[in-house]
Amino acid sequence: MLNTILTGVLMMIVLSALLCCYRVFAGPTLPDRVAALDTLGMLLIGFIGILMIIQDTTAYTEIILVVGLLAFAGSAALAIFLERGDLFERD
Amino acid sequence: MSATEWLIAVLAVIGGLFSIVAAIGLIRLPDVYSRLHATGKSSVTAVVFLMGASFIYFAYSHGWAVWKLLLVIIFVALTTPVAALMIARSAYRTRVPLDKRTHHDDLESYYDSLAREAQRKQAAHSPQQGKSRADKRGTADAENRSGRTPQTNR
Repeated sequence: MLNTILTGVLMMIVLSALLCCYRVFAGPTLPDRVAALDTLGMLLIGFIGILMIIQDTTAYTEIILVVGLLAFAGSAALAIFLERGDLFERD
Repeated sequence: MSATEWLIAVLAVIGGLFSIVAAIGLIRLPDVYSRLHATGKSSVTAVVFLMGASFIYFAYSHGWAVWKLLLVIIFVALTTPVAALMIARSAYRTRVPLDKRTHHDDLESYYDSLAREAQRKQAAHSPQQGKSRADKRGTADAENRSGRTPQTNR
């Protein structure tokens, strides 16, 4: 019963990830795509969290931490790149 | 199913619903700023509920709490608003247009006055010196870096 409900939750997360992928490919401007990729990272964190319950293992906690870190670093780097044109000062 | 398993299931379903709300907001809303408004809050709430479900499950079935999951909640709740702010600021500074139905833009007059101020001071103080870098990097970029030149006092 719990496994059925959690599989349904996984399907909901996959559906929203597909909608985010639509925005990534069809987004009219570049910040749209960056925002959609950030949301995709958050959804991936939730997906792995539910997968941990289904497979009954705690081996993925480090993966969740690293994915969260990379989602934030990627969004920040892309935002800075869009704003300034380069990431590091080379004056 | 026991009561704790029902609690886990309810938390997970609420998290899934919030992720769907974030995706629908990302699809349906008209421009970047409102899309960031939808996703920046809903995705954090979804991650909080899903991680809470996972934490309760391992505390209940294995008898030991995985504190890294609460660490993930704290980390996500700290960093996602910062990322949304940086994306929105870069979008506004690179002049991504607002939706046509927007009828009030408080920052517009501020950025216009900044651009005019920087242009006037540049023209008054160094007519031939500051021209090459500003032309090379574009107008929006020249505004951003105008605090670094000694003449302006932002």
